[in-house]
Amino acid sequence: MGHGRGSRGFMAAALVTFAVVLAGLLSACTTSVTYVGSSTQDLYFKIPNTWEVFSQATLQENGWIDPAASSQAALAGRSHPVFETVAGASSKVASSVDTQSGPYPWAMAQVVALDGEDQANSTLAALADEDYPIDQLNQDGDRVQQLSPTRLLVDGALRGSRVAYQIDSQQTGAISFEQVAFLNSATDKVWLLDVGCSPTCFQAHRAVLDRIVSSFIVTGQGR
Amino acid sequence: MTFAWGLRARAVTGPAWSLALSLGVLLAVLLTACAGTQAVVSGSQHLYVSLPAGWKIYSESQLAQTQAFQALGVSAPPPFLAGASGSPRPHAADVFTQSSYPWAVVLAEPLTADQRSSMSLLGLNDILVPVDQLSSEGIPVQTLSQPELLVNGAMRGTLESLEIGLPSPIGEVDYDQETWSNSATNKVWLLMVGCSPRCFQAQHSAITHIVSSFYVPDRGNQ
Repeated sequence: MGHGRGSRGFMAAALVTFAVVLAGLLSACTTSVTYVGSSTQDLYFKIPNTWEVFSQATLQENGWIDPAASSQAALAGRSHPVFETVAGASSKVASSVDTQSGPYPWAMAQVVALDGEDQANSTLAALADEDYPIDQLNQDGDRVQQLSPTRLLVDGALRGSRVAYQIDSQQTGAISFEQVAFLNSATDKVWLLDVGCSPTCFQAHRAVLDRIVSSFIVTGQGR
Repeated sequence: MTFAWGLRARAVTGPAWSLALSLGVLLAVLLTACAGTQAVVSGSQHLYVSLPAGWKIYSESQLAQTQAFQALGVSAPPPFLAGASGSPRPHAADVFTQSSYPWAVVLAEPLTADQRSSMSLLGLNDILVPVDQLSSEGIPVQTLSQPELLVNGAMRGTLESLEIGLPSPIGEVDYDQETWSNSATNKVWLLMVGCSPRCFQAQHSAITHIVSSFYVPDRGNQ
């Protein structure tokens, strides 16, 4: 009898151990992030799996993207986006571009084909102006505050920068954002990712946004 | 895209790269010796250019004593600077003047932090001669052919052909210039080959040959 009780105890302990190991393995298999990107445009980044990636139709409807203007620019031989995607912590992000200064963090990735003039004149310093005209806003007297020192990045044939700014202009309202951008050797393409929201939101979600920016990767060395 | 020697360069780093470069340079030197040319090589600065055998080569200190050198945008002694003259009675002072015989300047120099963040493909043209600035000061500058964009892995560069009318002692010079920068944008490599406009026209084939021999290997991030 004593032997039987000991055996049952051993079985129970083994079952509990098995359950714990199984739970551990299952939780390891469950991803806490969603991969966003494009294999044809050679870019990827990771967002929390609670975030939503918005459809192109929604983004177009709410003014985040303008495919017609991009096509026109391409036909005219001007620099134009060839890929754009937006994700956000709330579906409200997609409702309007004005939500860039709202209380919900967002991430926007772009690939821009550069025209001859931009190709000849692009610099590492100018990458900071790719989405928000920092230099222009500074000249216009808008409040622009650099949130962290500019980091120059080199990844094989790709060169780039990582910047973070808070801007307060009549045009955009108050936005804090961080941007990582890369140029290829031929200097005819830019890959960039911006993350941001209102300054208060940005402060509160800085760790998450930082992880998103750090996950940004351009594959294929920009060829 | 242009690849020196018509070869697609491959980014190789470490001892393998050094060995490959050393063997390549040795082979190139042997070949140039057979072909009646001489090589200007810097293993430490990773550059190679082939010049005709009869050209006289000058060091940075010899060039520094010439007046024309003062007009070039070299503020401090760079890691590598050499000049060469194809004149039958060569002199260091021939380099970067309206000489009747071709000359060459080879340079490798680091970029400052400011230059690094503000360097564009267009800016590569202004490394040794600040063409843009001179033009805005009223110095006559004429582009002789459409500038070319050069890409070799992580290296990017430009090839341009210019005519520039500078005051004495330089005078009116025509030159081809090939300039490269690395992905980190912390270094530039440059070759300039030129002479007087008349000489440039007459010697263009030889000048093109020299420029096409200029080789800076792709070293990935570096």
